[in-house]
Amino acid sequence: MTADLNQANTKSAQGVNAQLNDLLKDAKNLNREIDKTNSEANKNIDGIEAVVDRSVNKITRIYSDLDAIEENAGDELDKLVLQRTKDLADE
Amino acid sequence: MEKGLITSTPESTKEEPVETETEAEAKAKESEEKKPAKASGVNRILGRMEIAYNQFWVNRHEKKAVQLKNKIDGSDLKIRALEQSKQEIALAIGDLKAQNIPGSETLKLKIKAIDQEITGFSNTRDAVQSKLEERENKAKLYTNKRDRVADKLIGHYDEKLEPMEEELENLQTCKDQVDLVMAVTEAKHGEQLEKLNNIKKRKTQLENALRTTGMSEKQVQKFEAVKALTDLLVQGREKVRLEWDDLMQRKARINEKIADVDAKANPYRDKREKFARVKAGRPVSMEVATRQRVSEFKGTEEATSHTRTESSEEKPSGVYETSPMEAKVAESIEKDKERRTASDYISGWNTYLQKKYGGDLLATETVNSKDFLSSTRLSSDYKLDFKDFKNILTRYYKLKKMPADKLNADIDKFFADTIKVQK
Repeated sequence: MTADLNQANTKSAQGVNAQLNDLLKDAKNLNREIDKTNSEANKNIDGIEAVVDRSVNKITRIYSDLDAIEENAGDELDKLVLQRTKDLADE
Repeated sequence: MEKGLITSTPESTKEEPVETETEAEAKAKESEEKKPAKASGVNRILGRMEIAYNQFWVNRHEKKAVQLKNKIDGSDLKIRALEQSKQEIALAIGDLKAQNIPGSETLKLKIKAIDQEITGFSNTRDAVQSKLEERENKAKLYTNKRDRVADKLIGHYDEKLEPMEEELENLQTCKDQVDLVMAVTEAKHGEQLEKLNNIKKRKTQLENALRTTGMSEKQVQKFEAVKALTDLLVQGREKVRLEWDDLMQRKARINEKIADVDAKANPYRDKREKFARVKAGRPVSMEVATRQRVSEFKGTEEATSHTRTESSEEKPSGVYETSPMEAKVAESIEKDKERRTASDYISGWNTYLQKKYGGDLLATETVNSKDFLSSTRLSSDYKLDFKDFKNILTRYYKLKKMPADKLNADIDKFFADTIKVQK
């Protein structure tokens, strides 16, 4: 009787084990799917970030160009002010 | 840009007493010392521009010019009075002649004397006017020189601001792309977490089945497949969590970079307008009967003002945000877990729009299925629930800068009328 029960249990456990292994396969596939999703998202964000960095660099260059232009204009204005001051002193 | 900081506004200098150029220089130096070391570039350059104009006029030239103008006016008055006397004497001569009364010659001599006097005043007036015109011309010359500097700056700014705006627009698109990637990933993660939940449920059932075979709790937990499953479930969740955290951080970093350059853009946009505005300070017109030679400065004097053009592109102020939906519909969408393929949703949405708006519908208001799938990198048979579809579609509309009024007005109705009914 006990032997029969043990045999039945073993059989049942084997059945459950088979189902668990199928589930394990599903879980592994799902993990691979998660990896793929994450990898795709990272790849996309990498691409976008590269474009952002390029644009940010371009804009930063524009800002420094404008600063340099202003500096030159400042020099011109300084000369103008000095010249005007000199003219007034000569009058 | 570390040059002298000279700030002088027309308002502040107007009320100051007239000062000599040496005093002006000293004041400028003093002002430079008093200013904080790190004043903004725009104030420095604008200050110099203003002083290039103000120092001339406000210091003493304007006062002198007014004095000269007064002299001219005085001469004009005297000349007019003498001309009037001349006319009266001429009338008197006429009367004497008509009545054959002698003595008109004396009056003629008087007229001659008046003429000489008029000539004298006219000569003085001309000399003074020449002086005034010379001063005015000098002032205009300096104003024009200042304007040329401002114009050059404005030109450079116009040249640089256009590509800057293009790049900023490009960055906005990048921001929208990030949002779309996040929305798609969120939908996929949501589906994967649900699958993990289902596996967990199934695992619990199988663990119970093992217990019924007489296995102890310890034995069940040590069962190889159970252990492996437990690990995989933990790993899966952890991967989703870590990835999401990472994506959020990267999104924040990207947004921070964009916000940083975007914030710096406004002062540059404003500067261009300030340079244009600084040209508004013009020499005071003395309203003297000007001579022809003065006209040579008119061309440059009448420099056109560069008004600041308002950007026609309005930032979407919540247009793309999801419209406030009725609690019932929202709840219903939230609860709806039925998944449909991306293609089904798109064709359903386009059909819905066609049906509702018919001929009034613009081609740009429907979704191009091919472009949608390529932008979202979803496969046409990828299944998602309505909430995720709505979220992704909203981001897609924003990225493609599609008119969102119909999306906002109809997306929930589309769910209620089409998706819910089909179930």
